[in-house]
Amino acid sequence: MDDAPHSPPPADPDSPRRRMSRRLALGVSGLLGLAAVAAPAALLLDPLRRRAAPSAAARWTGLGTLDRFPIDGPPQAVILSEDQTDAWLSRPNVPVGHVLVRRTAADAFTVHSGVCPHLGCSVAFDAAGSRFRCPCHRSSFALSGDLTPNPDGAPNPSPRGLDPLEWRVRDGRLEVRWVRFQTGTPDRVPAA
Amino acid sequence: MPDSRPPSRLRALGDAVDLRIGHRAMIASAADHPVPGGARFAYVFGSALLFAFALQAITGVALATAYSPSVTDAWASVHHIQHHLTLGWLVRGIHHFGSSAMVVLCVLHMTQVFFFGAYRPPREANWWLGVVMLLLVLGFGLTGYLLPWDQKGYWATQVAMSITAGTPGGEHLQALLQGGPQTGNLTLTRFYAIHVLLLPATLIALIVGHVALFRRHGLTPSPAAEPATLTAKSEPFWPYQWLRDAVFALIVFGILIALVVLVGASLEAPADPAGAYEARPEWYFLFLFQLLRIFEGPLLIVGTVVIPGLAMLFLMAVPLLDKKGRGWPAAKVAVPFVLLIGGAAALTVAAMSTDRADQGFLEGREAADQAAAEAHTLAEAGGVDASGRIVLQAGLHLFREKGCVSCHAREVEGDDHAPLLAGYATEARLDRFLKAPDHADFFGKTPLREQMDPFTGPDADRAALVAWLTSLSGVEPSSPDLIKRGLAIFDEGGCTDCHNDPRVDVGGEGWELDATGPDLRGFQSYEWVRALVRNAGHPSFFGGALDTEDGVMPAYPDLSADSLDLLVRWLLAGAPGAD
Repeated sequence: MDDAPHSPPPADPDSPRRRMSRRLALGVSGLLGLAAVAAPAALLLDPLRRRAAPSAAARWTGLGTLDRFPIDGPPQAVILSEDQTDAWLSRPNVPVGHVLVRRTAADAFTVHSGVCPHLGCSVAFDAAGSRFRCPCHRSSFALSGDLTPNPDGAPNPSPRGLDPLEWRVRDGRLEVRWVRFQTGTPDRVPAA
Repeated sequence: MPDSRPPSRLRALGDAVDLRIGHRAMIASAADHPVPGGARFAYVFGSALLFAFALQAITGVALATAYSPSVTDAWASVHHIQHHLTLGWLVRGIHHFGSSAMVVLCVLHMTQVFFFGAYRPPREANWWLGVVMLLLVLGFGLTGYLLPWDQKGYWATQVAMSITAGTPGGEHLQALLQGGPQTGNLTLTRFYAIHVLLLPATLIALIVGHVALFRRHGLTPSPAAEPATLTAKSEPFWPYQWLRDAVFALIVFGILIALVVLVGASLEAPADPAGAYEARPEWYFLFLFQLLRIFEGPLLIVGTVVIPGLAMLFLMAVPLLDKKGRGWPAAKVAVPFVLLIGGAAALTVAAMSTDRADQGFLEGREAADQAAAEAHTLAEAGGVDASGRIVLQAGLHLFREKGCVSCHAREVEGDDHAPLLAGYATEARLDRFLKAPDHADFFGKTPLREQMDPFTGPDADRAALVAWLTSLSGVEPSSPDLIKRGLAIFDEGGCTDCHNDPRVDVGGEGWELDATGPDLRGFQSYEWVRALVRNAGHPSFFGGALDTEDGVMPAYPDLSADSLDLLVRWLLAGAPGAD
């Protein structure tokens, strides 16, 4: 160590009293530091304890009566809303996403999530090309949901086709089980 | 300092850093800073203040990650911190009592350095900095307790704003602090910005200056000590004084934790500008509050401006007034200083004992505690909506304000009362009702007495009937078999003598307009209850039976859709607080 400008009369740096005081000072300070940050750290790490409610994936959501979907008509985008509890706030009817619905026969539908499997943008129907396209990075999907090349040959960045969703018909209404999947992966894994 | 340890990578790294920033000299200079006369517990208050401020900063950052400064969200977000986030109650509790610790430590620190004469040349500037910092600490308290937007913070701020407006030119200051003509969103955002940005930045800058001046001038030892002994017994700051500082900080922390665990930071009911409330500021402002009790009417300004202003002026003037040069403070500053601190303490005690003897205050306090508990319970049960309303509390308040409670309660005047609503729409209540419809809790005290026969079958059959009736509201049946059985009992048990079959459409074959029992289609669903509250005397509900001159359960055509919605949601949640 350099000579301090205000050097006090020398207490022997290695006297037992000084050594003991130093150990105690370090110990108490360490304890104090830990105590001061422990609870705030626990609060900041709280999100790691939270997982999406599994019931959200299991719920059936109504998309509308069947006559809303003409057989072999153009695909329709239907916005899904649910009652949400967002931290401290309960909000009814919050839009949570949209699905792309196509009716191929009286009792046959294809229902895809409108979330692009590439990076999560919003996929829309492109009437001109008769396909689904994502405006962000030019992902391109056939009406079946499979990957399809862009008409101008631009690369299709999506690692997989659109995500199909489970559907059923109940009391003359089409219902879907809304699931969000992880994006950017070739495999279809439900998001936590 | 010679070092006999073998060179290590860590040491090499230390050397490299030291070459560039010279931290070792800085640390050594701070560590070896001499404590004249040796380390003492009398010197611990300054560093304890630093520790308390660091604690406020750390807990404050954590709280800020979960707090939302808007009139609709503030209370709910603080409630969320307090009751749902990991250790949120502890973090908020430390922050809450930490503010009191700051004030107490400020007073202790100021008193200690005052009596040791640390305001004397050349340390006047540091005394002045300290006085300004005391004001900043009070500013933290003032802006902080509004933030939860609960009754206490709201009303205390209302009073503070009125005091501000009452001072000369104060209405402009009030508008600036408040962000507009009323206490509202802009008040919260402005107080929040002041509390988490402006005040911390200012205080940190002043702390840097305060500590730098302290390092420059050194510690002021007790005036009683002999100069020769002071030099002879001098010790370096590290580790001797540091150890005492750390031990005291640990004691402060322990007291804070004890207060959080034993008392807890309160969160009162959400701010209600229309409600009555016994406004009291935080305890460390009670001496000002008490001054207002003493100086009323035209003298108010003496309590709000003159006396506090003179007190501040005196504190700032202390270094100029005492010309004694050394030793204990001169009587002309010591006496006013003791009077000032003692006076503030006496006023605080007076304020507290006045309140303790005031029946009206105690009752108001009890009501506020009940409201706080009710707000908490109902927020847990039904959440807070985007308007910032505790949904079930809004329903309960409508139940009380719209006069429902004047009939739907046991203690109404006269012998008759309407059915009690506690547990409404629950299976347990329905079960009790079917067993004894004429019980005083149900139809017993109403014109509907003896209109509905009790269900006398076995308990299991009644349970099946309850399950089926409950399923009519559209909830997913838990046991389809039970429901089938319930439906069979309904068909065979003579229920259709009075009730229309809920499977028959209105006007369909077998449907009777004049059925005396309520229409059970959608029984106790949202829509069904909504229609019932709107007009219970409608033919599809209690029709003729309620169609009396007495106006039993009147129709409510003027109830707004929003109010109706809140009432129905409250009823469907089991009407909490109805009894």
